Amino acid sequence: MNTLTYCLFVRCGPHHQAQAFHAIEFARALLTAGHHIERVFFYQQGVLTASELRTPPQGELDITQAWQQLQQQHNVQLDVCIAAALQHGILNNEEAQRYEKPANNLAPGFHLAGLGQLASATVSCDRVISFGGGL
Amino acid sequence: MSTLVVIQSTPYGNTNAKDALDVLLTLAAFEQAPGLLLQGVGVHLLTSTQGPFKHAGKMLAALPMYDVEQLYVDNSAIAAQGISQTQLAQCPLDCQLLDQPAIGKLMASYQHVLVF
Repeated sequence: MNTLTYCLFVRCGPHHQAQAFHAIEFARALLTAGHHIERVFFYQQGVLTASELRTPPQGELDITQAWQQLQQQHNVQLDVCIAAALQHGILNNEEAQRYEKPANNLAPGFHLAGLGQLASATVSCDRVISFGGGL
Repeated sequence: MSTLVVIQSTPYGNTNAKDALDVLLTLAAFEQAPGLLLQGVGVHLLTSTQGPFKHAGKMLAALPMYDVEQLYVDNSAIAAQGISQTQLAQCPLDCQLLDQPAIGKLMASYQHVLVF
């Protein structure tokens, strides 16, 4: 089989239920089919996925946890745009200290990264697939 | 050809246009020779408005510094959105007006198309 390298560009927030779910399902399907995911890049409202403090209602799929599981099981790189993250109140310990904020909330498994990571993914990946464009 | 960034959002309704230009500038800074296409209400990037937020259209002026000299504009949106020849002429980039078949060819010539 011809395997391809993918970058998933997640721009919908975890509250855009179907679209956020499609992104995780698509990622799972790619891995099952033997394709390679170079990175998942969270941008715009997508960065909200990376909040460790998200508390979805009982019985609903926890998108944040679903990505974390995928990261642990398949070592998928989860990059969160740092500029969008700061704007949406997603901070790691380092950024919280830099901006003198009282807390940090970047969920384990996610990393803050620059848009340069997306730019390099457009070079190295066969496909860049957007989720939640035009919201 | 690498990536075509398509803006179909107004410059002030949400941050889509600005977020798109941030991606475009990054691609350009990485010397990926990205293209920019304005469609639908996205052509309002060529107009100037006043408001409490920074108008994303102002970022267009920075593009020539990153070797992005050209801007593709959906011809049908120009009339539909009431963009004047004067406004087109004032654009800091060289605006190339394209009809639907030409837009199809343009998109096909890029490896990736990111729509905002």
